[in-house]
Parts: sequence; C-alpha cells; structure tokens
Amino acid sequence: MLTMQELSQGRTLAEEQGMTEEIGSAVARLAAEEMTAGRLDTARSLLEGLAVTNPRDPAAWAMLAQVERRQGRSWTAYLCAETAARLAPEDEQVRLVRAEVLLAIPEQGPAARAELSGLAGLKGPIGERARGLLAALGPR
Amino acid sequence: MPAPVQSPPPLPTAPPPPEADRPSRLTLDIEGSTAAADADLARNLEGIDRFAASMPEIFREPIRAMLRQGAMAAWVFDVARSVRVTVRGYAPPPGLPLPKPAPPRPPVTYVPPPKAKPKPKTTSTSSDFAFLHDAKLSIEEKLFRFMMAVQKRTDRELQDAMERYEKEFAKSKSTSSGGSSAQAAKKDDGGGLFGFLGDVVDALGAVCPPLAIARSTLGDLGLDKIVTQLSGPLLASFCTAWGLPMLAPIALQLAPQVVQSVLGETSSSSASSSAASSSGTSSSEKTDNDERYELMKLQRLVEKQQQMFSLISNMLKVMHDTGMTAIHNIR
Repeated sequence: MLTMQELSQGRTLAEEQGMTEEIGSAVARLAAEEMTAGRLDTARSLLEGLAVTNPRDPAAWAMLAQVERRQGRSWTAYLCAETAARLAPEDEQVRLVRAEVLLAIPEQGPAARAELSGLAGLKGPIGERARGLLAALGPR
Repeated sequence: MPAPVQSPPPLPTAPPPPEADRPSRLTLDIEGSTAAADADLARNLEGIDRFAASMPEIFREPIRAMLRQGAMAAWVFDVARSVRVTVRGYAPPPGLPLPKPAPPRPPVTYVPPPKAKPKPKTTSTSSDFAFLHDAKLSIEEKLFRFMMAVQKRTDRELQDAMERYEKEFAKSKSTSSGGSSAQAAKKDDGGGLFGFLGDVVDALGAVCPPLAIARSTLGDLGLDKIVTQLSGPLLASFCTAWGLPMLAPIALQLAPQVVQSVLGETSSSSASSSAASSSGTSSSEKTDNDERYELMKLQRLVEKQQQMFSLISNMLKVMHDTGMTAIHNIR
C-alpha cells in the first residue's frame, strides 16, 4: 500500500507493486495497439493507469498526449507532452509527439514548426514524418 | 504441445472485466505455470483495493478501475513474458512513432532487478539529545533543552536552504530585475468573463500549487480548459513527474474538489476565448518552478519551527498552570 507520505516522497506505485520496466513497456505496447485499432478510450485508461503507476516514465506521458490529441483535448495533450518532454528532453520520439500536439493548438504553430525543423534532419521514420509534416504545412 | 489459453484468475472483490475489455487478440501458448503471475495479480489487486480505500471517496472508484485495468494488463504480460505471444490481425504501425522496439529511456523508477535493500541511514544526532537521559534534569528543563536543540537544528536547515536559494536564484534575479516589473504590469490585464476566469484560476493556483505549475507551463490560456479534464490521480502523477512529489497528495485530494466547486459553472464559457500571447516552455520557466520549490521548502521549515515553538510553549504553559493551581489551592 502506498501511503500519502510515500507518495509525497516520490515513491511510485510501480515500485510499491514490484512492477518492472518490462511490464511497463508491455502495457504501453498494449495501449499502442488499442490506439492503432481506434479504441482510444481503452488506450487512454491504460495509459492513465501507467502514468499514475509510474509518473516518471516519459513513454506513458507521450502516448497519453497522442491519445488526448486524437480525442480533441488539445490542452491536456499539451500538458502531457510537456511532461514527457521534461522527463526526456532529448528523446526524438517525444519531441515528435510534442510537435504534433503543438500543431493542434493554433497559437503554438511557430513552436511546432521550430520543433519539426529540428527533427527534419534526422534519418529514419521520425525525420521522414517531420519532413512530411513540414511539407504539408507549406512555407511560412 | 501448446496448452489451451488460460483465463485470468477470479478477482477477489469484483467480477473480471467483460470479454470485450480484455486484450482478446492475444493468443498465448502457455508452456509453464501461471501460478506466480496469478499470485502477483491477486497481490496487486489487493494492494490496489487498499490503496483505493485510503483515497477520498470521490476518487475511490475511478482510481480502482484504472489501476485494476493496469493490473490485468500486467497479468497478461507477466504470463506472456515466458511464453510465445502472437498478435493477430495487425501490421506494425507504420506512421505511429511510439512505442519503438527498444527505446533508449532515461532512468525510470520501475523496480530494479532484485538486490539487497540498503540499510536506512542513521543520523548521529543522538548527542544533541543526550540530555533526555540525564536523570538529574527536571522535565521542564528537558523540554526547554529539547526545544533549543530542535530550534538549533531547524535554524541550521533554514540557513542552508537560504544559502542554497541565494546561490541558485538571487544572483540571477538581481541581473534580470528589469524584466520583472514588466511582467508584473502584464499580469493583471483582464476584465470581463475571461478576466474573471483568470482570477478564479489565480485563486486555484494559490490553493493548489500543481495548478500554478501547470499555468507556468501553459501560459494563461490553457489552465482553465485543462483543470476540468485531468483527474486527481493524474494531476498527482503530473506533480511527481515534474519533480514535486510533495505536492502530489495535495493534488490528489484537493485539486478536483476545488476545480469542480469553483469552475463547475464557468468552464463551459471559457472555450470561446483565444488570445494571442502564449509562450512555450523555456528555461526561465523551469527556473521559476525550481525557485518556487525552494521557496516552498523555506516556508515549510519556518512552519516547522512555528509548530515546534507553539507545541513546547503550550506544554510549558500547561505545566506551569498546573503547578500554580496546586500552589493557589494550598494558600
């Protein structure tokens, strides 16, 4: 049982329950499948559970940001994406998710474009997607 | 020879989730025993129930449902870890960036592989309190000395905290004091309904620090939209993720109630507004959060001193009054 005191000291439910990183990854993978299949509510429940279980896992926050964006809650998605970016500022996938979330908020267009420009030079699927999004946005 | 797919063990307090909610697309070829995973699941569910029971009633059911779902998923993968798992009907997600097969993650706080637990550190402050075992001292004297010892220690902590603050923030503040007045002037700019909402959210930020952090992240636009969408547990996790776990219990208990009671009637009208200025996160905002955290630590230390003072002085007063009453009675 996680007491309020332990919670305030930063202990996570994952530690309390003996949940390993492997299980966390597996739950995230399951949520990704639910997301791909369009079952966003189920994916959201899983990811919220994962974020509550281990708030220091950037993957949970980044994926939750994606789900929230797809469900039209742009600002919640923004908060989740910023949290993921704070936890893993250098992670390219987290940065891509953040850029996509920023694109959904009209006022954040320039910030999204800047983030995508930073990713466009990368090789692989992330760079491709960033370049594709930039092309779709068109010139300034 | 693969064994038939095993169903999850019965849940202790509630029926298993309906078939539609289970990850039905997984085919598990189970070669070993699932007893360990079953035991883990039962233990996890029991822990979840206990945890949920310790929550305020308003969160109890949502957090229980959420965590039980997570525990069920964990059970599936706990079993699947040692067996072959085939996912049918899905091509690998082409455009979906997450999750990657083996993501290079920063250190996360899942349980590390089993190792010996470190012994709790023992602080050697016993010499400060050695007078407690001195048989020659009266209880009043002991109380007084106790108060002095605690005061001395908290003074030291307070001094350290102030020096830390001075080292990290005061210098940078002095160099950029010109900008702060402009910020202060910018702060109160709103009238009308959205201005009122801003005031409400200001008040919420003061009552519930996590909301103030969210505001520093999102600027003025997002907070009133977001507070009605985040659950208490998620806000608490948000605090932990942002390095402020001490605020997590506050967020868990306070935020949703305050938000519901204050913003319940006004949140619907906030969606129409769109202002132009909205700054993204920057290093200065991060510094602001850190600074706020350090100031809160200072505040906590001062409060601790106050509590200790009032506790001890009340005790001394009561003892004195008791003695005086006895003396008055004799006269």
